[in-house]
Amino acid sequence: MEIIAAIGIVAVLLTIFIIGYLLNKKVAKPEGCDDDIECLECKNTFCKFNKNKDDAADNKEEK
Amino acid sequence: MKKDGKLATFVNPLIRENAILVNLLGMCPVLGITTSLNNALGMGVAVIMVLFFTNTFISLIRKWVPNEVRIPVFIVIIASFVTMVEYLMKAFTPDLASSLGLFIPMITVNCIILGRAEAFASKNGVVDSMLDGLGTGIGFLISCLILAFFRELLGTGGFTIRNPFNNELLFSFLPFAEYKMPIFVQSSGAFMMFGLILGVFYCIRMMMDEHKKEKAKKEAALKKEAENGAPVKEVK
Amino acid sequence: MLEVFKLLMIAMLTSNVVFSLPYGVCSYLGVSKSKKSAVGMGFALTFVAVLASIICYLLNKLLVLWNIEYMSTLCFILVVASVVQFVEMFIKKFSPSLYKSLGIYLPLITTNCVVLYICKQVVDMDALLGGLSLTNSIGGEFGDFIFMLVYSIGTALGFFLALYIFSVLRERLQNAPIPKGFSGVAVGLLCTAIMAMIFMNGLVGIF
Repeated sequence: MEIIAAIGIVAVLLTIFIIGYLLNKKVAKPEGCDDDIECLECKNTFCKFNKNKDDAADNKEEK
Repeated sequence: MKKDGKLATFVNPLIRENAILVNLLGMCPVLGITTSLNNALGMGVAVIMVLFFTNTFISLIRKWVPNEVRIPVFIVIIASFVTMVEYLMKAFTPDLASSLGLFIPMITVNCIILGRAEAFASKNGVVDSMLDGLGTGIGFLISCLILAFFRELLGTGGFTIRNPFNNELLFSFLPFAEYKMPIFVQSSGAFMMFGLILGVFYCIRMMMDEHKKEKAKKEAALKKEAENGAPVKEVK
Repeated sequence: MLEVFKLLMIAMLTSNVVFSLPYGVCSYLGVSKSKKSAVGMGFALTFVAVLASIICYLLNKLLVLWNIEYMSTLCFILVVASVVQFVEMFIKKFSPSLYKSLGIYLPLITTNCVVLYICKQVVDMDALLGGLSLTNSIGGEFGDFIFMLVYSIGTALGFFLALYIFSVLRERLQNAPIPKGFSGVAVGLLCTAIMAMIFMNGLVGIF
């Protein structure tokens, strides 16, 4: 019973998150926003503005 | 050559691209858990376990995850493994888990784990991802141990190591207990120690880089000399 | 009322997230190169933290009811991530100028330690207030809710304060003659150590 509740609530939250994520991608960015902000402040590859890509991983993929 | 590739995958995140000292990623727990060697060791082992399992799992399912929803899937996988590790620690090492406190669930939002999952595990094979996970985790553990070594030495006057499973005293060496400076066990001492260690580390790296540059310059000069010398010799 | 004010001050100053129980150091060091980015990150974080903590507080009551408290880490992080996505969507649609100033920091808040810390702490308000030696003077569920709201606002504003002071310091440090190995993050951490001493040990007797 508890397992069903656990899986259920995770499934509901995950669905809400995925819906929000996809809707967010669809909404266009307002004009005037610069997309190529040169941000080299941290090496957080998770951030979409990060220009420090992991060269080792990319090289491996090419090989 | 294959062995070189695998060894490089393991050693690269350990030394040259160390998550904390070079990339400055994932520093959230470091300052809070390095109050003693015990805590640093416990947290390091937890991070190695989480990194290893998430890298392996993500690289196993990477072909079946649609590209649009990969971030939500990664977050769910990482959070599940962290919850498992947290409850394992609460069961088998309760004193360690209570002294680490809320830092174990914070592994979920650690930049290192999401970063390695997205940059490496979702693009490479299983064995490579396993090695990368182990290497990054061991690099994290070593940097935490270095910081904890100095903080505990200055903050309590020595080292006290306890068995994490039943909290027995294994080893207690307190030569400078009368001269201890408790500020190093608090957060301001943590910032101070971390800043000093980073500064010293950067100075060492700068000296090594300069040494390499001078060596390369000398080699280039020697090469040029040899090229200029050879045609002259031929004419002779 | 006095207890509420005390909680706000303790959460912002004496028990500051960054200085006394170090959480959130990653983004504190990463987003503090200029005042503008610090202000943007601070506002975005306050907004998301308050919303997410309210939702997590209510969700935790449901989890306790169904006896599945062990799912709290996973559920909270999904809540935080969803809140970030929806907030970003609303800001894009209804206020493009606001998006220009703080839009780029919103995805960064998904992996921010401070927001998850607040969510994890507010689930047990009795232990939290007891740990800070305060009591629930308003009483009952409503009092719990008010104290929870004040705690999350105070903690997020404390992070904002720390980030802003550090960004001002770093702008000055760029023009200072510091040896090359120590410039950048290392000297910033040493300055943070002094600030931590001020906030933790210096302000402790006031409240």
